[in-house]
Amino acid sequence: MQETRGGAARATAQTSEREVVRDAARVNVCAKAAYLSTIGALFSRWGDDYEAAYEAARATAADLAIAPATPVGAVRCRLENEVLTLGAPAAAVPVESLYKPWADGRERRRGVSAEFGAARHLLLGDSAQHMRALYRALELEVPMEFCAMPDHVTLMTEVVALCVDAGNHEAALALLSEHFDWLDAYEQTLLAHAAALSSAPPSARTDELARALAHGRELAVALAAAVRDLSVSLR
Amino acid sequence: MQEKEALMHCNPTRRTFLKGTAATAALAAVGTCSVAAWRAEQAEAAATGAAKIQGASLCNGCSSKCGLIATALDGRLWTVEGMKEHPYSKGTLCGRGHGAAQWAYSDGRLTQPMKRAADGSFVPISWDDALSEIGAKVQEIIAEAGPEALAIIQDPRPSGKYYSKRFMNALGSPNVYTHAAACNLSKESGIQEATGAQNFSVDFPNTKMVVFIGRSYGDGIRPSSVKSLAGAAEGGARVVIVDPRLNNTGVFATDWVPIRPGADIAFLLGIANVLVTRDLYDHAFVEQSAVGFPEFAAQVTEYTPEWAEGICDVPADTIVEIAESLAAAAPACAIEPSWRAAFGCAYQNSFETARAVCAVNALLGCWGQKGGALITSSPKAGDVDPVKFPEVPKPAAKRLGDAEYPLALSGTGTNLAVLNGCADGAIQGVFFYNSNAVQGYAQPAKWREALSQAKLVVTIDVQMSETALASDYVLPECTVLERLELPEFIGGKKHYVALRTPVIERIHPETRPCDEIFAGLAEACGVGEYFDFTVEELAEAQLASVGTSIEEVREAGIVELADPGFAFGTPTFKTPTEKFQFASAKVAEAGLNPVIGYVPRLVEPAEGEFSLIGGKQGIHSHTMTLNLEALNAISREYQLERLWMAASDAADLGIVDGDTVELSSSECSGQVAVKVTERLKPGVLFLPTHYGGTSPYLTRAQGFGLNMMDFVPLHLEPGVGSTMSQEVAVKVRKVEG
Repeated sequence: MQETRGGAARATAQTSEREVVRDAARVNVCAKAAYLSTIGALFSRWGDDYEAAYEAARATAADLAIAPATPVGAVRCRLENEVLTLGAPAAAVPVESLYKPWADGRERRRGVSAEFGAARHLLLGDSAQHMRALYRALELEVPMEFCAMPDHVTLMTEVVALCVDAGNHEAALALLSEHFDWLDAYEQTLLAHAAALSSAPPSARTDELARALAHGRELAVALAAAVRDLSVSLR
Repeated sequence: MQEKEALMHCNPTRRTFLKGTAATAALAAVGTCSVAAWRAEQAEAAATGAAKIQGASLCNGCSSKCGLIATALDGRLWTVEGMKEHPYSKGTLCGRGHGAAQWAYSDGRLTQPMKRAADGSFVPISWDDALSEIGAKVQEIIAEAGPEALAIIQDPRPSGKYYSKRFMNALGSPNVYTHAAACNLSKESGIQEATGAQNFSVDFPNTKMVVFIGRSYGDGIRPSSVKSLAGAAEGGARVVIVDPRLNNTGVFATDWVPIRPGADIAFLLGIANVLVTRDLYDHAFVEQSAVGFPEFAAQVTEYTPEWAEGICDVPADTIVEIAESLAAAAPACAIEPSWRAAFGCAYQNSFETARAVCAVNALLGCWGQKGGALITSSPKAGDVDPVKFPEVPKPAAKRLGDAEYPLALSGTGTNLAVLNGCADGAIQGVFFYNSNAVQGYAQPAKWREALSQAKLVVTIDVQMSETALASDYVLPECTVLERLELPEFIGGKKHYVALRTPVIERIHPETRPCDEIFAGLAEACGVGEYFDFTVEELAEAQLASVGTSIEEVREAGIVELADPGFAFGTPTFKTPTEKFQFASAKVAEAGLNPVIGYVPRLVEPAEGEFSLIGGKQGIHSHTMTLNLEALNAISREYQLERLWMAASDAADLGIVDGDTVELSSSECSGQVAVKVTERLKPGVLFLPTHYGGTSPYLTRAQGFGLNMMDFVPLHLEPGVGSTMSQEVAVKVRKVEG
């Protein structure tokens, strides 16, 4: 009995230890997911409140060194108006549909493939439809400014964080692996815009836009790192 | 159920974007979130009946407005196809149409109103603020310079042509213009002076011989035109292409007659000379149904085939042979009316070339005959409730430009009067609807300079065009498949009405259809009382006036209206004389030769210079489609932006296929790759007319190829005010290294 009691006590202690470890791990992945969603949020319009967004990223970062530094207002303004806005001259909007074929070429509905299934640079492709379906299932409403891009990283990182917080790591991992595998292409777009801008005549606007593109790339790198870090923790 | 925000316990202060409740249980049970699993569910749902919507609309890939059927699955555009019953598409949609369907989802769209900032960049602005500021500026212009200082230019679309005119007239301005001065103004004005109609068609099913002057069905625009021509060719008709370039209609042609650019009129008058002097013309027609023939016959004796050869470089024997063959085929033959091509707006003699086309058809006696040139009628809406849709008073002033260019069609005017008006201060506020005037209507630098003088420039478009870039405010319209428009009435041997109906939900919530935009502008400008109805109400009223309804047209796609009673036979010409006019009093009043005769082109290339001609391609008609992903990709894949050069010219200049050359005129220079070909007359260069975009917002179009209008001096055709788009001489040299 003694042994049994001792064994039970040891088992209880081990269970408790595992719970502590599990809780710590849970807190750890929650923190990483929170950080990811604050980075995702930096790709949205914040207007004059943008500094709060960077503060939120710093507040959730495991290491302050990895959190993007807050840019000056003029650079952030260029980023929002000329990089993160659809149709803008140096537009690089982090929307998954723009970087993937619009519809799966193998998919035929009622015997007909999508008219431009293989095309890229189009909104509301398969990835957006999948995200919409997910939001519907979760009774989440996409705000008006995102209704043409439910697969924008701001929303997708937020839903990843929700899944992690709810303990559905499998879902979070699936989202990370299937919906964030285009970030290299996104970074390349920013680099291409920066390269094109380098031949533009010098002006205050050009300088600000160049800095905005560089900052955009910094955000893209931070996003990709946060995706990797969380994915590793969830596996 | 737990609030989503409560789940954000790791960082409760951070902002969230998704709204609503996300239950922990739902989040925990949502499954793998696998795309593959979702696709499998979708496929299963489709097999068992996914929400499928089919809707009718009219394409916006060019200005033809061919009927199409769009299919959406689960609210997502899946396919588009040509409407079988529509007379322009006849079941086929061209490449432009398929590409243009992507517009709804394009990353290059305008998604919100924009305002130009002090540094020239554009920043988002709310609709309320944009409309309010525009309204205040319009009131200021009216107070200072009167309503006639306002103008609008539009490329007609079913709703756009109604609302733009109503808006401008409600403000008290008569200055409403279409794109025509850079399209078909000369040709339609010329045909009108000769026949009273603005256009005609060839009776392809019965024709024995047809002559095309520069126009190429194989390159643009309507699928039904290609089908008609293919049918005629298969039936054994002789098809003659008169063009400096062997264009893509060549596959249907029996003859290619390479001709010197701008000299088509000499070719036509040479044919007329043969028909008259060899007594091969239709005496009964010219005696009973025409005026001015004696004067024309006397004048045409000068235009011998040898004289014509000296100008147009077509051998006199060829001219004689074609004239005699036409006479043998008459009346089942015709000179095709063309569109923009060689005399829509190209040369100083374009108006007169159109009249010469009509004159040859008159000599052949083919007007209204089986296999000949047919003038048909067009339907229109009947009267609607004047209380619900109050009539706008007709502005007292005359439209700017009409006095200087009295031969321009009243329905179009010359939009270049606006350019000149901005430059001299007569016009201070300009609106553009569905029009990229800056890039395509005349020299872009002149447009930009003129618009910079205006106090207010507003553009309504789906993308940030070069014209939008020259504007103070840019108002975003939703795309065709997202909107209902007013009925489109279609004429011909039969009459029809069709509609653009919404097939998909509005993609970007801050875009609006043109009826809402104009109603908003009118309200902001103080004339909202003329727009107190919805487009649906007006469409229903217009359709009721011709015996149908939105529901019926939506269901059928297109509805045939009452039989107009077309019959073969010499038509009644709706000219002032009620006869075909070899001579026109109105042309005389305009200070031009009233009798159809020779007018030279304005700019003759000197030694070492080339003529520069332009044209459409199978996938682009205008500048507007160049940024579309699929169509731009095709252009790049096949290097369609290249400058065509005759092989013998290339050899003389040491140029080989693919070389980069510098093209220069009195106005500008630019570099482009060369396509060396045997399909072009020596001394001529061909440049497709939709390339060379400069808007940095249209990243795929920007800097791709050259824009022909950059090279052409700003000058207007006498009488009609067309842009004379090919009155230019250019030099070309190889760019080494």
